[in-house]
Amino acid sequence: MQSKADPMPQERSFHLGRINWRENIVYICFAGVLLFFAVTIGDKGFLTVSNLFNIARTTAMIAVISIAMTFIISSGELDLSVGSTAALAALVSALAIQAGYGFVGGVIAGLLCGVAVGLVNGFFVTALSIPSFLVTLGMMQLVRGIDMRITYTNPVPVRNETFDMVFGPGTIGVVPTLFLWAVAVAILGHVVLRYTPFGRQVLATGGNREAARYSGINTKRVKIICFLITGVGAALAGMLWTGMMGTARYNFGEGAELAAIAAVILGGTSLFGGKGTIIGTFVGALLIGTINNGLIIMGLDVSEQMMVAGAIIVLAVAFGKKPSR
Amino acid sequence: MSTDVLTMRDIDKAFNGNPVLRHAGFTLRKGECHALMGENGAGKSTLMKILTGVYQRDAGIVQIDGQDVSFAAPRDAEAAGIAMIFQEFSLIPTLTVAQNIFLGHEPKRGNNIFIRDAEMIRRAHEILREFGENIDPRSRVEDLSVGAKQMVEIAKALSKNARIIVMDEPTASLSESEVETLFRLVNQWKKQGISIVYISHRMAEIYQICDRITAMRDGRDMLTADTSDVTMEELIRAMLGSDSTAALDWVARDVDMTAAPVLEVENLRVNGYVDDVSFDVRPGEILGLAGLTGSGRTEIVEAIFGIRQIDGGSVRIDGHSVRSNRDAIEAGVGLVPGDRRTQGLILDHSLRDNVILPNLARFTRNLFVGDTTARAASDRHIADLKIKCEGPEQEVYLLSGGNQQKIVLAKWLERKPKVLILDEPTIGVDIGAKSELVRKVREIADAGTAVVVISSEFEELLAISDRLLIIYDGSVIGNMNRKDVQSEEALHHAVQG
Repeated sequence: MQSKADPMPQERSFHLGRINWRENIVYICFAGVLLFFAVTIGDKGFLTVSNLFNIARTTAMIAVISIAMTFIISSGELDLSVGSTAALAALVSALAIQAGYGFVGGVIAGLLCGVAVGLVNGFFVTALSIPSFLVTLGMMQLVRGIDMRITYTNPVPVRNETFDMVFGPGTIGVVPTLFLWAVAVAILGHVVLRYTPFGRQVLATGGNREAARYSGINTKRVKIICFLITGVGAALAGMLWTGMMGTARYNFGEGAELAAIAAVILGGTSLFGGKGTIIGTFVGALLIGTINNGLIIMGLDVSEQMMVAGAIIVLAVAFGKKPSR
Repeated sequence: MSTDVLTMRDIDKAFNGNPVLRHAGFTLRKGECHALMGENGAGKSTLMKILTGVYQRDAGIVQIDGQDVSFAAPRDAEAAGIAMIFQEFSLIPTLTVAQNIFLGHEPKRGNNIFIRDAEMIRRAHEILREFGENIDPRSRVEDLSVGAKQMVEIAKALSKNARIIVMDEPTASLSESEVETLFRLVNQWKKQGISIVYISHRMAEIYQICDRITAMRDGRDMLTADTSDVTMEELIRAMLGSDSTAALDWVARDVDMTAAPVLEVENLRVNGYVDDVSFDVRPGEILGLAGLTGSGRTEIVEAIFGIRQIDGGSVRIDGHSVRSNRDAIEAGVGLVPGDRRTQGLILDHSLRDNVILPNLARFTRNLFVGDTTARAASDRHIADLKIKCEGPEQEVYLLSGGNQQKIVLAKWLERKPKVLILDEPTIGVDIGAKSELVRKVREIADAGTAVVVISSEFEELLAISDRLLIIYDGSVIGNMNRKDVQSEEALHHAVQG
């Protein structure tokens, strides 16, 4: 093909020294935002250990969802149902524990919710070739409706020591348990996406589905597994929310799908599939959490927080964008 | 007749400090068809993109009708009557033929706000009628055949009253009859005083249709001559700097025809495409499938590869029935598909990641993909196939067509296939890489692999095949040994049914 035969005309990325700005925009932004808050509100408590751990704790759920979301986006699809699924898993696991199935029974019930939603999403997207945006948009509504109906929007308290210890707001040593969950999921996600055959199949499917198919990859299977990953990831996040609050609520994870997509794209994963980085996603989630925290400490009200956070996300993605070729 | 409408002189262009054009020149006379040839990377496309305003030159002169010009954008070149017909279609699939042809310069009503739909369709119809092709201006582009799309692309250029038309590999996706139509159009344009720049790798076409030829190498024009004054050998020497056409001569090979066939196709049926096709291929044999585009050649090999549903009959490898893509790959079938960009490669990924894709299991140790062994394997293929690249980590979209095709080949060679199928392996591949591919395929067959080749370039098919199947309308209508085929013309005749 002639137009590609020539040497590339544009620089693909601008380099300053050995740093590739575009690919590392999320780290640069994160450092910049930390520095900015440290200077402006460092004396108002932003820099205290307890506040930093607070950021880590409150970001954990979005981080877990974002890491799962990196897989589905890398495969060239999208999952908008994660927030509703998180709430469903939270409620179902809490109800199971309340009904006497114990910690293990509760967790299994919660995770099965994620598996169920993932399978439904995967079926409609692969077997019926419906765009994932539409399928999961519908599922987002449908599952949220189920969330509201199960307990007629009543919260379900969880009184279980093991659950509190595993998912609760406590710490192991000095580090919040919730944050350790996020780190563990990030490491697992990074290793799977970067170093396993399945990870390669995900990136290949998202990079060029036809070419992946002609290379003997079962791209439908790959996509179904990615939907299972987001489903189970969301379910885990839902239980983490329950752990943090001590109560499961129907409105857990509202807006989480958009925050997660923002974290994934900020992190450097291509919205069109084929390129994904878990570490970038993880830092992207921390960045969003840090911005929210800092703005609260600065005394901005919710409307102002939303405007500033939204503007920062748009600007960061704009700076990180590859030049068109 | 010999007035120059276009003169390009001493054109320099560098990207990131790498010179791509060095004092390149090109002239075009009124009403001539002028072939522009050269290997991929020789600078043909860059030169033409400077002409059409896509790129800006670093130095040099461009004159239209003797006037110095400089186009800052494609729109400026268009206004000066220069149109480029892209090989990658610039059409919008969801719009109609007429909407595409007049995109950006729709006929409008007096107040210049509303599009005059009926007028647009009428004018589109007028342009298309000249082509003799039956294309309804109201049909959507996505519903058209590849050849018809190419015709619409040409109509789009004509609708802008172009005086200079640049065509990049225009026949790559056309059927025989469509090529004839195109050539008739070219001759008609020449009579109307329109000049054509014809970029192509296909020698036969160039000798048939072009008045003059310019050959480029390393960013320079090496030779410009009347077509009648220059031999193919001289041209190739100008493009390559040495003679290397030997690979495109047929070499008689010894194949043990008594050996048990490795690939057996029996009564294969794919509804709507393939009807009751049977044939065998033996180890070390190279079988050519000759047929027109749309004759069912591609569907046959896709069925063998298990990626297309079979509606009847069977495919066996070493006597074992193959029912799915997985079976076929496990049994040792490799397919270099017809469209390397959409089916063969993940362009944004590295050479290494592409090479290991069908071989992930082989490169996996203890659950993890071994990047080091993958890199070593890639290095081996780079050396073996002479792939020109910076290394295994380079993204494949940065490489030329020939090098990309070698990577697709490497994907399957890595598996040491028993049956290797190549569908149009040399489309958009320059002559140097083409002869290397031909040589490599022979080597693979010599090592005992059964090879099936599809090609629309019969010169190449005749050079490489031991045996030929003639495919027409989904059926095998002929099976001949290469040595019994007298000439390319005989083959051209045979595939017409």
